[in-house]
Amino acid sequence: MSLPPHLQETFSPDEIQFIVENENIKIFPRITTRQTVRNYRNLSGNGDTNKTRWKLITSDENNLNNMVAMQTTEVALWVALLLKQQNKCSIIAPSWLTVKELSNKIRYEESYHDRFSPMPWDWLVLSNILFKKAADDFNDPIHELRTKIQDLREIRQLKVMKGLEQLNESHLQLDNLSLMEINELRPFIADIMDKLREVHASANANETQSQSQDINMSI
Amino acid sequence: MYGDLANKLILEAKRSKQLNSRSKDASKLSMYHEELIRNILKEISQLKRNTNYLREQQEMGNMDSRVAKCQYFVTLLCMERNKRCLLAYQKFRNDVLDSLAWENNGMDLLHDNVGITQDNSDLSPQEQEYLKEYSQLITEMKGGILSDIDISGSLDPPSDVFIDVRVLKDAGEIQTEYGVFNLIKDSQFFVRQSDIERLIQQGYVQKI
Amino acid sequence: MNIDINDILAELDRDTTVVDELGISLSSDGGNTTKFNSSENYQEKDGMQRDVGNKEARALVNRQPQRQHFSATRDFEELMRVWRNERCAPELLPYPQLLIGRMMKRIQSQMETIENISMGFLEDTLNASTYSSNNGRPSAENEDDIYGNSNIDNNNNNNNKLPLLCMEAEIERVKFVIRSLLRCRLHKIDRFSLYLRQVMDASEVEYDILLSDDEKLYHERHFNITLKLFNNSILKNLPVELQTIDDTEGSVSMIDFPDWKKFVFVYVKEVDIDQLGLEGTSELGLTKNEFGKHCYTVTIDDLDEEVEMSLGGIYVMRYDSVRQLLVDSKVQLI
Repeated sequence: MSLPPHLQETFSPDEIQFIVENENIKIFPRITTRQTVRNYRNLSGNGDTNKTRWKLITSDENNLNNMVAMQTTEVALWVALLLKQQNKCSIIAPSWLTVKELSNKIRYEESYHDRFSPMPWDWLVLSNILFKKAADDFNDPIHELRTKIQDLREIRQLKVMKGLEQLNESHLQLDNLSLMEINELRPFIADIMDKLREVHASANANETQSQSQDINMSI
Repeated sequence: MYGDLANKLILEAKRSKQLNSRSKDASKLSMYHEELIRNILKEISQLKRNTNYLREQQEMGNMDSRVAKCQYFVTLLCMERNKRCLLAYQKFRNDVLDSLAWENNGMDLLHDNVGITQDNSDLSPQEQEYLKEYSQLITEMKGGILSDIDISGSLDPPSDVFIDVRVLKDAGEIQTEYGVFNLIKDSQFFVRQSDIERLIQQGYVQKI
Repeated sequence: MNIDINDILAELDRDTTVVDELGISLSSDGGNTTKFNSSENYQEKDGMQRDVGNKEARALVNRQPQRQHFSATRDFEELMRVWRNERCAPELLPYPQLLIGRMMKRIQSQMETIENISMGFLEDTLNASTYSSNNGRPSAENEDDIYGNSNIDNNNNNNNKLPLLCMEAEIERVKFVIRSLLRCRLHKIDRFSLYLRQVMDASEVEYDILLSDDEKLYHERHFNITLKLFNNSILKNLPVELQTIDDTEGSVSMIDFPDWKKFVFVYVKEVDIDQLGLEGTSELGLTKNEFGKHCYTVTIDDLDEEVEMSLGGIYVMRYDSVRQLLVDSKVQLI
């Protein structure tokens, strides 16, 4: 098949990460790319390789061409990771990714049993990427952050499991569930709801049939 | 009983499907069950003769028409069921053949010997022809305005397009698809991962 | 799934100034920005526009001010949306001809840029002649010069090569999305091969919207070789009355069609309510529910149920219930 079976039902974890990598994130550059008017020349392709400029086809390259060392700027996550890999920037973790904030979220999850705390749609993936590739950029100890993220994930998973009782043939609302969580649940939830729908439809068909039989008999 | 053979065929398809879905390795087909298929086709011919007989008997008025109709109908269903199983079996194999063709970039699997896991003798002659034609189709789809994309390329998202590697043993100059590397022990390179993949497997270089 | 062709064509006429064709240079892309902003039915129209070839539009577009950066960002976002929708939708969605055309143009132009910059590095390298491993291969087929020797410990050029690394990595990303999108589409074309032939017979216009020229060719040829295989290995050995491949009269129809009621995950896109005003919101079909939240109302046919889908919400819904919202680009499959 032109699309392998494991990609037909849902996205692969790598694809989910790919989607998240397109989001913007704040960084501290360690290099300066901004050019003053004096030394500015448009040099790309002119043979002078001292100042190669960025030119992107999926996002704005303006920020990249105007980096000043230690001045915050915002770039796509995949660019940030590449710069980080080259030791050219440190990544600024999002404000919710601290031990304190995560503890708040966990408290929220524990006090409301029927809803999820509003987390960014990419919290799970983003935190895992940053733990892996920018571990030295966190202020809080990384193992503590990891534990908090894991706790949060488990509490939410538990809620999802309980919520599965409510699966029906009509519809379901899942506000505040993140991309990764949705992707993991997708095959399971969609399957069950499709099956429930079929059962419901055939039960209905039988009903209509027996009704029409009743009518026939009464005539 | 009628349909038993067809059922066997379907179970066989199901088993191979599970085998294929469990491993993320290359797709693989097991032996084409030619004899089983021939016997099912024979069964269908037999059923066909039965329907003819039943119709004659009915026309001659030799049978209770309700019983005859029912017999006739059940026989038709058996034939249809057998056809469905045969097609389902072939459809399943087609899907695997398609996967094989894509996994091998539309290369001619039967004639180029490019490290293929599929044993050609497991395919029927018709299947071999199909595989060849489909591979050809893929090759043609790769051309045209979309040739920059390489549609038969990897479906894994690109990650770490460039990596740092350390050379583990002297290997002299190595020619890759994109250029020449002078591999001197303990030197480090920042390279495109796809260029160096094979050298990593062969143990010449190591990802840092 | 009623797509009123006339409506779309009428809208197209109005929009010809923003029609972008394969032949148009990149700098003309700015023309699309207005269209994206008005959150119109982009996806469907994209599929339609290919038949509206017109030099006039080309001339007009070329006069548009250059706003390429913005447009590139929006186009990539659109591509990601199209890819995710295609992967999640049970049916084959209209081929995004114009979008793919623009993306291919960008890739080509970007590859040229990269080549030019690399050529500069190569010249430097050769002039300095300190590096041995880059010897003499022309940069046209040889992109290794951007990293071939970037011994990470001591390389002043590394900062300058950084943009190139990014640009190369970026191209791989764009290629991946397009490849995955096209492969997903081919999978659906195979899966619904017979159904799509019915579509083709019933309405050539609709068939044209759904498939690109390449895809049509693939559909036709793959069907033929598949049919040949089925015929030779099975069908021709059966009694005549059982020899068809697309029988719908038997106890089970042989034509597989999309499961219109399949449950899908949707995200309801946010809308700037303040900017739209009361009239704008009701025009979109938005109403305020009892909690003061803006939402669309959809119907679940079999159950005679109405469901409110509030902006920013995530739902699991039957595909046919949200299909119109998807066509209108008000929701996105996730």
